[in-house]
Amino acid sequence: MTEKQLQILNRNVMIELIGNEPDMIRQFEIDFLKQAKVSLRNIVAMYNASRISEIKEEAHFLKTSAKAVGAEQTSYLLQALEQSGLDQDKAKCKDLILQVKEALQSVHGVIVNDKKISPSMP
Amino acid sequence: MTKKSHLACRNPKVIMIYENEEDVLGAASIIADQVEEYRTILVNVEIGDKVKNLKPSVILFALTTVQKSIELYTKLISDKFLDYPHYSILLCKNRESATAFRCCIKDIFDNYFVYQPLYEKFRLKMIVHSGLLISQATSHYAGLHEEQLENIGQELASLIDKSSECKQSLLGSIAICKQSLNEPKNLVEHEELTTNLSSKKIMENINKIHVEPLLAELESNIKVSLDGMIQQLLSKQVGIEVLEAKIADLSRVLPPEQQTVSSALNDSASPDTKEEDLKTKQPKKILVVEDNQIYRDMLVRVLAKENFLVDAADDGLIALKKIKTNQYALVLMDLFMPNLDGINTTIQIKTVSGGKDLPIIALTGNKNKELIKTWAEQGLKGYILKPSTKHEILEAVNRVIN
Repeated sequence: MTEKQLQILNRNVMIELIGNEPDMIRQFEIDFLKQAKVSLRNIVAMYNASRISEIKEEAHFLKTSAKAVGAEQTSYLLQALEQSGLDQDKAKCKDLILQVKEALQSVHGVIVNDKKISPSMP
Repeated sequence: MTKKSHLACRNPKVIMIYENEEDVLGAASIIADQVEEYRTILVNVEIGDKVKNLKPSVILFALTTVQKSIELYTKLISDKFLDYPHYSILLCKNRESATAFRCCIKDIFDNYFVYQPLYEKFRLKMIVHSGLLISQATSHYAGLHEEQLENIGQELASLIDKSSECKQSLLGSIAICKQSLNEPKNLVEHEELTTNLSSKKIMENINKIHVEPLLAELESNIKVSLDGMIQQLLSKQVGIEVLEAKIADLSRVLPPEQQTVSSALNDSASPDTKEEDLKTKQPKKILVVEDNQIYRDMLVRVLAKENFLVDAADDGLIALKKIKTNQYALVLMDLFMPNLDGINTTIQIKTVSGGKDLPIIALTGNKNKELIKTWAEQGLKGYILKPSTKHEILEAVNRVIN
């Protein structure tokens, strides 16, 4: 799958994982946003303190839940951020942190605007 | 009242001294949720006066390095800004946790917490709660071995020792003050006190020699009886389920008049077969070890829905504790976790389980193939790519369990 094909929030991922339970899916999405807010704050603090190698661990942590809830664009960017942290590439980290923030804002937009989940799979 | 107002409480019992606001936002909001009388204070030249005026019971030091926190705390004590009993907590970054641990072992701070990254908010709450209860226990930790700690610069090690002396001196003064306050003012009071103490001692002896062993025996008997009863009930329940399943099968195959005879025939099956049936019917217990709460919850739900008994741990250390006290049929484990990672946890499990083969399935991303290979050498039974589908997860689990 190319970067362009990645979805902001692919609900089929969670449906295939926990079943077609809209309320539970919504709760996990909200939990993910809460977790992402704290985690992104940690990443920014690590960047500001030039603790680039720690960014790798935090990005990996958040990537797990991003993948699980189907936030495909976010998890793709977190994977890249994880690698940049490993490479100690501070400039790239900055760029990716900003992109992750935007991706998360998009996920938030989808969740807020889509009060009723209408999955594409039965 | 909003939660934010807690941050500016006039007479806080808990304060957090910080240097960089960004660093403490997460920890500050967690404590604000828990404690009403709480305040965050930016470190500056007036910090000593502020502490002296507020007299908080619990003080969290969240400066950018452990060294700065030690220096500030020592100065507050030396300059008599802090001259009363209190509970001090050092907040540190993960990479400085060994230094923070050393500070607590040396009795400088009463406790420490890794707030960057912040994973265990309930532990932070617990530490603050304990601080508020102000435990005065001063038992000395005897398990300190220099070689177990990470290398700490001589300058910092010396600062820790000096600060420890300073804190001990304060604690000593407080203890002397307390002792002089408690001393009887005259002989009569002294005699009363002696009588009370000796009667208390007699009661303690009676308790120790007679009452406590009886209670322990009683407790043990109750536990054994309860365990037996629970086991019987479980066996009966499973037996009934097996019987119901057999009856249902028969009623589908045989006409009603033959059902009683057939059921009687089935009842005469060997006891061994019945025992095997019971074993296979008992739900298997699985431990999920994953630091990401969201993914961990998802896995727990998927497995619980399939009638597995599911337990969860958020790092390797907690998993090891659980494995020591539980009988698991399988462990699903993440690779990257704080405190103890998947590979090292697996190595430790071998020791803990005393050579018994506890199957482990790795939870991993597809980028870690080399690490999985290393892990597999320690005895993996399979791996599940994150996040995977329900079908893939259950297939991997059933393959190992069955």
